[in-house]
Amino acid sequence: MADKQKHYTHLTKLMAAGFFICGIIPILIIATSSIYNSKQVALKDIEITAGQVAQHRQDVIHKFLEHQIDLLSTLISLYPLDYLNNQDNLNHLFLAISKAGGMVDLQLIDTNGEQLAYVGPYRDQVTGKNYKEQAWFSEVLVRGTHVSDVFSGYRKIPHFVVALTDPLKRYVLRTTINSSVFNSLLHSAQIGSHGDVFIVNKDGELQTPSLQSNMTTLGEHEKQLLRHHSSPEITLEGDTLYTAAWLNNDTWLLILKIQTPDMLGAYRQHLNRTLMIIVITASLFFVIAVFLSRFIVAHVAKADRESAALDQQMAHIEKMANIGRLAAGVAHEINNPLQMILAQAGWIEELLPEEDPAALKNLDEYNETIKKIKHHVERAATITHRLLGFARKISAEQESVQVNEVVEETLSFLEKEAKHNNIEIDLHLNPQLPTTMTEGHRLQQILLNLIDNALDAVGHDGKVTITTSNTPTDIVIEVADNGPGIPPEVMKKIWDPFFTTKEQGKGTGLGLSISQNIIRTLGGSIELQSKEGEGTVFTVKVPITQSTQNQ
Amino acid sequence: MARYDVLVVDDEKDFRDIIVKKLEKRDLKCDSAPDGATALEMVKAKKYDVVLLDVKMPGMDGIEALREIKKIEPMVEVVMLTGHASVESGINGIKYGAFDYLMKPMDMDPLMEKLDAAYERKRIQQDKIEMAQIKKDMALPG
Repeated sequence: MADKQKHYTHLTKLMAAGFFICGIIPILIIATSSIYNSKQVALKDIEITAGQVAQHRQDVIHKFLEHQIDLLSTLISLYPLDYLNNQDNLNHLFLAISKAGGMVDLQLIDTNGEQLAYVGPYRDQVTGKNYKEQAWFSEVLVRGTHVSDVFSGYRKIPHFVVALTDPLKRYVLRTTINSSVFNSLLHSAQIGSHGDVFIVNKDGELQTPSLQSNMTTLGEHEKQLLRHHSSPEITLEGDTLYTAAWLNNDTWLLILKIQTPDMLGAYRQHLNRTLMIIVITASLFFVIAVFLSRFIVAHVAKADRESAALDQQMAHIEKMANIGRLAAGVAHEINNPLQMILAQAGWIEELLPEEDPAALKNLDEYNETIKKIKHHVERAATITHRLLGFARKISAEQESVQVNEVVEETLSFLEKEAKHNNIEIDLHLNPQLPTTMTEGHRLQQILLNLIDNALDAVGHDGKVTITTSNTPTDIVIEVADNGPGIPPEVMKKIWDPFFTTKEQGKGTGLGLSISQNIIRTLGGSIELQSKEGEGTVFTVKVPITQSTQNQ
Repeated sequence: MARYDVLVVDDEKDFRDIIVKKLEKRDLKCDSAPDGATALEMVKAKKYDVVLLDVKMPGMDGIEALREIKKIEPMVEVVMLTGHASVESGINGIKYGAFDYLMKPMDMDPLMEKLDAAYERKRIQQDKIEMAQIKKDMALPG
């Protein structure tokens, strides 16, 4: 039994695990793919935004630089050198153009690198300086325009230089632009609180300050961003998304750095929500799996018990049939000698009257003895006939049954036991009880169980009352005892197969279970009422059916 | 003069003897046979009115003997004797033409009743046949 319990527990666990896994796997797959997709979408979004921002800033800075160059080239094409080479005129022009942008000063230099005129705050430092040897100066003379990297120089303020020469290369017009004009433009391009945006030159030196740190050059691994490409290029490295766009004739590189975790808020929310759903559904599945498996295993266990009970019942029936056959064999063999005894005694009885009564002084004794022999042979014959009847009933089918007779016959088996325990058996048999078509021996089996139980319940010196009565549809048999009654907790299990309150080895626990099965097949019912301390009444109802085949 | 002829068939000699004695005491002419085969020979040799036949015998059993007897002499009435309380062998016997059955052990009175009733029927049947024969003879022209 314990082994079986173990087996059922194991089965429950297996089924619960199976249900749980079957339930949770699809959800895990869906959730995983949903999380992955949502991350991809979020990243794509960030990339698109980054690309757009970089593109926009690239355009703006490009236009700004072009504008500065345009301004200078307009001055050169509008005014002759003589005009420009006049401090007042230059002052006047500087005022007009420096209103827009971060133009700091304006300087006119001849081809020998000598300053001709200057407008701006650094007159003292600039005066007398020769630019002929400087690289940017010769580049201007060769290429016509030059935009320098940002440098602080003696001014201590980051700035860069835009220089232009006239088409005849007679002079150079140079202006310094405070690079801080870019800062606000770049600030507004920051994406995410840990994002960064700055401009580097071709060597990876920062042209505008980083928003996050005070580094001056790109890190080693970041230098690989300095590749040539025409449109903004997006690279994802770990959690960092780099967007790079070339500026200023590919001499500056605008770098937009985004820490993707900053931008994945929505994704993280989705992730948390999904995880929560997984946890909730998992626990739900777990609970369902446990309950479902318990439910199923309970049913399986019940079915097992019932089938075991059925097997027992079959074995019982077979046993009874074997006993019946044996009994029939014995009875048959005994009947023949009984017949002989009876016949021989009868012969003496027949011949006796022919004797002379006077010559036979013990005639009365002989007659008496013959009567007794006959009586006892008849007794023996009753027993053998009952045995034969018992054997016949084992295999009998529906027959016309007088329930009162069945009750009396059943009692004849148990009378000895009752007398032995000083139990009074009170019979109230309704003499007008109709007969019914049923299986008498099966009914007898039920009654045998019930009366036997009643005798057991009473123990000693009690009383068992058996009453038969009938309603228009049923024959009612009541077996009542004045035993201790059945406690409610036993009442609940009393019909269960293998449930017994008798000592180990005394009862199979199948009596009532089998009785219930039998009465069901007979179309009747069995009920019980019990009061602790007062006794128990079992009520069996058998439907009254009249034979249809017996003409 | 015996009332009618009876043949007792049973494998037990003591039983045969006592039954024969008792029946003869009741004015019946009585023979006995220990088994089916002998009984058949006797039925062939002599016309009996009633046969008292035990169901359970070694060799040819009662039912088989009954069928053979009925083949040889359809008019003879057979009362089956059974030590088996099962109605089946009795019913079986009746199916094959036995008049009735009796269960062992039985008293003389019911046995006599059955035998008398069996003979009565045989006699009635015989009368009917004779009547029919007479009618047939009378119906014949000339």
